[in-house]
Amino acid sequence: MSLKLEKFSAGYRSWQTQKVSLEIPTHGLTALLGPNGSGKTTLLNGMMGLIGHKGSITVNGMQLGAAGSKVLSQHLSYLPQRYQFTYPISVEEVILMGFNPEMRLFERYSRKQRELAGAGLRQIGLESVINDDFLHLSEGQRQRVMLARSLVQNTSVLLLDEPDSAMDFSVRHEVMTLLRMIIQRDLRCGLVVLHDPSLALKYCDRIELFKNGSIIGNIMTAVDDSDTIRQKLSLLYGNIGVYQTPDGHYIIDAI
Amino acid sequence: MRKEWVLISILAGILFVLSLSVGKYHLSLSALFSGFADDALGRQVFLNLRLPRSIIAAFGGFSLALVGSVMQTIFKNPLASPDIMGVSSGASVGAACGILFLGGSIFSVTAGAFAGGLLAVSLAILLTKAGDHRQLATFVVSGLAVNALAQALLMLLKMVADPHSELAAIEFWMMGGLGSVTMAKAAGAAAITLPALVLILMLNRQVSLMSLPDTEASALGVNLKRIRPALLVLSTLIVAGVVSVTGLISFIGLIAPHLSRLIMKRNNMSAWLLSGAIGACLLLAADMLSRSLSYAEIPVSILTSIIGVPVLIAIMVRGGRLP
Repeated sequence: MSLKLEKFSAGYRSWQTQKVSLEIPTHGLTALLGPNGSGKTTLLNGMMGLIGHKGSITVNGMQLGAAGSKVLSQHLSYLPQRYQFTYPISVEEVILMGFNPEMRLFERYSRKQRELAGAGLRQIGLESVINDDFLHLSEGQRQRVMLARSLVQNTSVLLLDEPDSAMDFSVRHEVMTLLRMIIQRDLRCGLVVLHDPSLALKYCDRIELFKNGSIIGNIMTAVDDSDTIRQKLSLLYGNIGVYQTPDGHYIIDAI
Repeated sequence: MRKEWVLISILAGILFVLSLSVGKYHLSLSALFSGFADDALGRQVFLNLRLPRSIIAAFGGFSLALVGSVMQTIFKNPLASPDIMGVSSGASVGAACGILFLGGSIFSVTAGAFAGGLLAVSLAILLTKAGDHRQLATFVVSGLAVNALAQALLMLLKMVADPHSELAAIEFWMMGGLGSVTMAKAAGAAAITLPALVLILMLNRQVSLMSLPDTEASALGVNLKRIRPALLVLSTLIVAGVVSVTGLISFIGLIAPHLSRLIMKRNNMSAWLLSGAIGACLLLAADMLSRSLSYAEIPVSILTSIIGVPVLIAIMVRGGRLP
């Protein structure tokens, strides 16, 4: 399973991302790192077919550039930055929505699907909240529920838009650990938009550096040394310090 | 079954039986249950007046409330309802056109109400999109503009209407009332409304998915370009089918969904059905009051508005935070 973009552009009225090419292999987690307004969310929205796009997007060798929302949702699952439910809704109902891509228009949720939704929640350790109101959950719990929804959606590719944006320190790491576990265990691939380079260095196999709508470089986290990482991150953040701890983790600091 | 469901069902049943009994020609409960063995006139009143009227009150209230729930869900806005979005006033213009230009038969009034309602809701959506569609105020102002335009058109139509027949028919329709409901009219309305109602209930999973932001719903495989217009057409058809026999009924579609969510603490198929049951109770009660409060029948929309306006104000004051 892999995700491949070739000369992929996306935008609302004009092309805000320009001819992006990247490939994410099976059980690989790639971060898209870049400043605000660089077009990261636009790229994800283009990949999901939510806005205008051109170029090639391939999942497992299947070309999806002209696919409709139904087909796209069978291959790509999308977790937005914020969850905006207007009305109260149970956690179970939120997860069951993940089955929609494979269902016919008038089909009802089956007993088996309800069991799978419960199993998805068990996997992320939230089975006790299955009947709770989603709106009453913490941000961290909401993100985990959304990961459970993407588990039942069962797509090869997971796209996540700044899952760390509304979380405190511990929840951020908890969710990223869970995401990495899902990607590796189920042989999926993930593209996650992040703001925090240290989070990307800790959890992702590869980091694509994104600026002004284009990829300007990438970091192979297991291969590049701290000096190379510092030089590449400087393309985005200017003069920064990158320090490696004895256990192999990185600390990033502005200078 | 949840106890709230049992209570509302019992209440609807009681109101339905009372609705069969209450009126200028009082039908006692014992006569109702004995089948009018020695009361031929009572039997006629029951079969020709009370039964169709009570059925339409229950069915109409149910349908308007259910449509209100669906609209509030797909627009992700607690103020979306046939009244606020201008569907009802658009339907009034269409019905007036049906009365004036198409002979005023039940079919022409229904077709006019449907076309007018659909035009009004399309215009309201366009206006809402032009502003900030997440703001409650944008929704209200769009509805206000559509309602104002519809009122202007109605005045124009009333000016050219024959004052002795057509004008009276338009005014009567506008005030809303179930006094003229017959079994034939009830059957006609049901023939239009029931299939649309069944379809909208069968699409409940899509309705629920549309409570998500558009981007998320689309990412879950919902074809918004087809489903949203389909749901709007079905909703408008239901409203048009009901109001073509009842006349304009205000506020049921706005307040019943709120009461349902307040009780259920959820917005799902069960809550929409409960909203329908609450709508049936509200219209049955309002209709009974309309024919028993004074010698002359009070238009039912006056009573539903008396209940609805304070609820609308409460929603505005709380910024739409009612469940």
